[in-house]
Amino acid sequence: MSTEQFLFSAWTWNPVVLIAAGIGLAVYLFAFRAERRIGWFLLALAVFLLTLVSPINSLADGYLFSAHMLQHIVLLLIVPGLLLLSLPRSLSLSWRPRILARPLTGWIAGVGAMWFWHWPTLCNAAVTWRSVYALQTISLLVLGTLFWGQIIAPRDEERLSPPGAVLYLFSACVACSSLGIILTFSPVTVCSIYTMPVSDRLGMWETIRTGWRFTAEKDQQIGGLLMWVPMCFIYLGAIFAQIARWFGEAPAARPVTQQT
Amino acid sequence: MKSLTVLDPQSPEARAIYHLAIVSGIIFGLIFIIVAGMIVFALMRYRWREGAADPNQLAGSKTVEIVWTLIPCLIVVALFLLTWQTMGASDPPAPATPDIVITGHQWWWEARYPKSGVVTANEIHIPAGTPMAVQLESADVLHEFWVAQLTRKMATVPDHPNHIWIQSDQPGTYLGVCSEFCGTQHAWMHFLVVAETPEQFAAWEKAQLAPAKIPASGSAAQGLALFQEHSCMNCHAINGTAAAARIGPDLTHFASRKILGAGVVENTPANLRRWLTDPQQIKPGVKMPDYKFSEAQVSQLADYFETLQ
Amino acid sequence: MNEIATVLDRAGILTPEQREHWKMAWLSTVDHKRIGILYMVTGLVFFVFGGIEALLIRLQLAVPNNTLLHPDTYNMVFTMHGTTMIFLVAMPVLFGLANYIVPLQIGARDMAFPRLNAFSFWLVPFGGILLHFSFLAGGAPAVGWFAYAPLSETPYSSQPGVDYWALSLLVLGIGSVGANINFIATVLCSRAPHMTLRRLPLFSWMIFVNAFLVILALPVLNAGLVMLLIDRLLNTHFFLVPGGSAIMWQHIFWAFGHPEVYIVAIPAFAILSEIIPVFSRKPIFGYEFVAGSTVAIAFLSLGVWAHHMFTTGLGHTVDLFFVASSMLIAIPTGVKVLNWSATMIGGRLRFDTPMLFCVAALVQFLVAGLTGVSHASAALDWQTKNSYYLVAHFHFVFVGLIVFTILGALHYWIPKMSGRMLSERLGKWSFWLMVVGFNMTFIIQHFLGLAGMPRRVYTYADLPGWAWMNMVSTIGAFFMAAASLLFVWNLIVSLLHGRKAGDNPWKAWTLEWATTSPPPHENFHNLPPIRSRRPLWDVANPDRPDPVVGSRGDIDQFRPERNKTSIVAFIISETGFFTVLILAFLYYNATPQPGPNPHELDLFKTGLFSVCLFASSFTIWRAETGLRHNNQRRMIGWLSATIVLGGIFIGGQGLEYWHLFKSGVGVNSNLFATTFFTLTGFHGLHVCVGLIALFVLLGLALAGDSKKRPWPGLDAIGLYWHFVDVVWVVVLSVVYILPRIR
Repeated sequence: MSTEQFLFSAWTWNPVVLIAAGIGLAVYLFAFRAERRIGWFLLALAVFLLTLVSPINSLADGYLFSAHMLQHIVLLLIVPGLLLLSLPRSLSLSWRPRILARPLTGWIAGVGAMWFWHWPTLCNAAVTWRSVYALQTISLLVLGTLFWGQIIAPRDEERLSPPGAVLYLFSACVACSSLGIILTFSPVTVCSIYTMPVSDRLGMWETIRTGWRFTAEKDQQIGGLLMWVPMCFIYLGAIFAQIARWFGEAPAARPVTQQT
Repeated sequence: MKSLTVLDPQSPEARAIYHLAIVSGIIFGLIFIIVAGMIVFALMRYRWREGAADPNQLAGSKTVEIVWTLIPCLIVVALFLLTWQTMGASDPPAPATPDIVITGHQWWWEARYPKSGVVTANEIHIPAGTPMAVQLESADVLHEFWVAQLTRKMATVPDHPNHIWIQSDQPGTYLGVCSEFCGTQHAWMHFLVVAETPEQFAAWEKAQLAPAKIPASGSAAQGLALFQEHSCMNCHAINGTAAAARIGPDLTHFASRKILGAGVVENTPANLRRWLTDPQQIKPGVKMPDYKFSEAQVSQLADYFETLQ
Repeated sequence: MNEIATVLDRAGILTPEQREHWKMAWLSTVDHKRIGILYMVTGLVFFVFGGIEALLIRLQLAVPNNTLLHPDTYNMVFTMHGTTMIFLVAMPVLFGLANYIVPLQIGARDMAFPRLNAFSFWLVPFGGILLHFSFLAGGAPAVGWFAYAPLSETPYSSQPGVDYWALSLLVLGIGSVGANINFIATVLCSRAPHMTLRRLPLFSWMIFVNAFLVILALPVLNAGLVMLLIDRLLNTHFFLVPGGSAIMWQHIFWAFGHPEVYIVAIPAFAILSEIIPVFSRKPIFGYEFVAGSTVAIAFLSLGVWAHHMFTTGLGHTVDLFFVASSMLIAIPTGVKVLNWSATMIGGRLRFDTPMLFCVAALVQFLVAGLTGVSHASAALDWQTKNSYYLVAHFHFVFVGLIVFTILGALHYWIPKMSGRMLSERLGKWSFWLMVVGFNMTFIIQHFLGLAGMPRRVYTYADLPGWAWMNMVSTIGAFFMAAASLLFVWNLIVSLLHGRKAGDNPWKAWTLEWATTSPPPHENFHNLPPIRSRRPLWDVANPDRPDPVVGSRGDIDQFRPERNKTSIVAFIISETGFFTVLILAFLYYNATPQPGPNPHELDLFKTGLFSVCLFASSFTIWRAETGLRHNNQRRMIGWLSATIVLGGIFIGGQGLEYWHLFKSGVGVNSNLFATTFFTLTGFHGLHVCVGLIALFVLLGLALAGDSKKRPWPGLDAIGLYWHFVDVVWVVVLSVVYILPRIR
């Protein structure tokens, strides 16, 4: 299959995903009548669908580790963040059980989701069994929400203070980068299933290896680098937002007219 | 005259980098003129005069800040894309088997041509107009292979072979150096890249494959005997004799080379005699010890080496 | 020697009572102002060493085929020049300046930990002497300031120079971490009331941010140095083939080395942000953006190191990601440059010597930044790397920016330190000599690099253009030497005869100018009200004060307990150290190797000892609760239990080592054994240090010291102890459990 054919035909219209998205939208519209931030929600939904329906999903499903990593990052860091931003600003999260409201829980959720699912056995299992894959997707969304809840809970007082948030994000960034570094430089054993396809369902193997020049080593390297560099930029972006939030409360810089 | 300048590229690979350098040089120049202009303007226009009151205490402007954050972002994106493109053009993917294997030693270069079996040192011949795939290796510490006019530089790393391409548009001789500090004589780890017409290159390869002639008699024959008696053979190889060690440069066609001691002097009979008298005098720290040969011995050895065409 | 006392006396730095024992008064001082001055004087002394080395380099290169220096001597000289200038000049002088200024700017009486401060300082001369002792012990290191392995390994550098180099950098690294933990604790815990974090002067803010960078980056180098020393002294091969990896050293070194550039550059930014507004008679343009971009630079600098390795052969994929991240740094840096320039626009610029140095630094840094982008672009770097173009680039940073701002800062703050102004006339002379000399030396080197001259060559052939360009560069270097001498002369003359400075000679606005020059012991008699970022502006201009900088309630007022703060900072730093060792373990054991392997370890026994260690976290927590409930006996009981459990763990580890040694497994058996002993050994060392601290606490508690309130030691040591436990959780999983389930 050539690249063009692939881009047009490799969309996976998985009914479960579509139904889940539909239900999500309905719940959102039903639950929040006032103060809707529907834009954020639709954006979250769009990103979610794009990750799970577009050719990226087909690639992640047994072909490319790097595509899997992209999916992983989006589901853990982008979709939950957008979802939290779509909540009405007055919504309190005080109903959270105390354990979930602790920063340490959020941190372990965010970092743990990265390390846990890249344990070689689990990484391979998620490609082999649909059920593990579904579990992985759901867990990433839930854990990502726990992680971001500390930073972008709708109410300011339920978030970490800006300096605390910087520490939280930075340490998470380091913890994930370390894994990225390991993946980048270790031999191709982390998710060995991607080195040889179980079945070349789409007939894409040839195109990927020779057309796109994606060797197994390069594939894992890109996966590791995605986790190392661009993922850090997501955290870094959040850190800047925190600094802006901190300084933002100062009176706006305006000229003081000279009185002479 | 040989030169090392990056501003006179002689191959498509080096030219790609050169073009990027020109484009980014213009961008950097413009940025410099604008920002430095702004500073100079401030210096000229807003001088303090005796008795002047403090000026308007303007503390910033969010719009301005956003504008001058976004503009550099765009420049960076453009430079990134240009870099990406140039990286592909100046350093295409390597083939499975190299045409030349070059090994960095303290402080000389060994070149092997796996397809023909030629082994030489400090003088790399290539056919002009043909890209040659080079595999870079190191026998000891880190070195860096750099022929500024022909190709990118690349390190030689122990146990980590690297790959580059080398080619030259026209026949010519180019200077190369080691550019990663590698010990005492890092400064004299030069080499020559000789680009020839394909016919000349084929002839050169053929000549290099021939074993050395054994001199029958005279001073040269005594030189060969000296070579074999002393520990020269522990380090050097001369194809056609018993000497086969690979620690120092292969001397089979020593006299055909233009430089001696990895570029420290030209390979002339006089320099060769000086070198044999005391290599440490010419290239302090070189791994070849001073054998304290007598003048006669030096002369016999030199006579022998001059036969190694 | 008494002349020095006279100078110090006349400059007002000594009181008459101190004259008698002035040497002791300085040697035993814990006052931040004196320690600051000691730092700077030490830096200046080493600057003379580094400067002479620089001149030797330029003399040797003045003409082609020069034979002034033996190649080995030349290689030692440039290695010592780089190491000295970075670790013994730039860092001490900048830390010393910060030491002097930061407590004053935030209205504190002293640093948070005066004795830690003195200790951190004394490690600098100690480390410096250790490094220079190598000259007597068989030759200085000759491996370049980044000591690339395998050249720095025993087979290629058998003299002990590299050992001295590594040891002295370890000592200096520990000193830097100590000093910067102190900065963090000082800024967080010792600020004057109302000096909220958002009202911090930019200098203090940047030193604060920089301190985090130091405590994160230096431990990475320390881990690398430890590995190098183990290689050299115990015959292992972390960085040597077969098995080891030369590239690993590059990763470790540059993961430290790139942040290091910013560790010395951010204080220079801090100086610019302080001096340019004062001499423009205007507040800094966009305080929030200058402050925020500092954080951006600090974070980004930790993730871009591989751009130093574009020619190592990591592959295009890795290169490209680092092209992107490295280029990103240009954005916050550009924002800073533009903000400084905009501060001058619309101001009333006064060109006193401090401002002259800063304006020159600004323009020169602009050049350095632009040539820096050309190194971030891998394709360009493939040609310019390791050539004089690179040498020119980083000297534009280190001299063009950092030395110039340091000189500006000294002209600006010495009146505060001595009470006497430096001579403007001599100052301007040294400025112009310096500008001319610097640009003459280094602008031409860009072109020399493009003409192909590689760095670190002791001599060169007479290739087209090389000879005259090198000669110009050498002449420029002597101009710089003259400027430096003139500055020292200015310093001496002005300390003796300088005009009295008064409290606020520059009409500046931050708190250090609200006290006498030099400031009294404990700094302030009384503080002006602090409502904005420029308290003295508000005092001088009651009719048009700065807008009040709001306070975000408890966060801005955040003043944690200093012992706990310093331990948290220390833990952050140690995390960096262990992360490197753990990553190294994973990397070297990714593929099984002949010889001892993880399966030979006794998981069961280790598991038992580990349970003891984990239990000790619980017992120390119980001891803390005991203390909180004021139950001394319970506290002492649990504390003793902690010590016993920790002791059992260490005993267990000792036993394990003993068994391994008996079965012939040594640290140099193979890379598994090397990484195993390194990682568990350093963890064990941390447990031992914790045990010593616990013993001290126990002794104090038994002596009745813990009846005092507050008694913060236990909480602080408790935090450290938990950290040691957490590290063991990771080590246990990585070393003992992971290989079994793979």
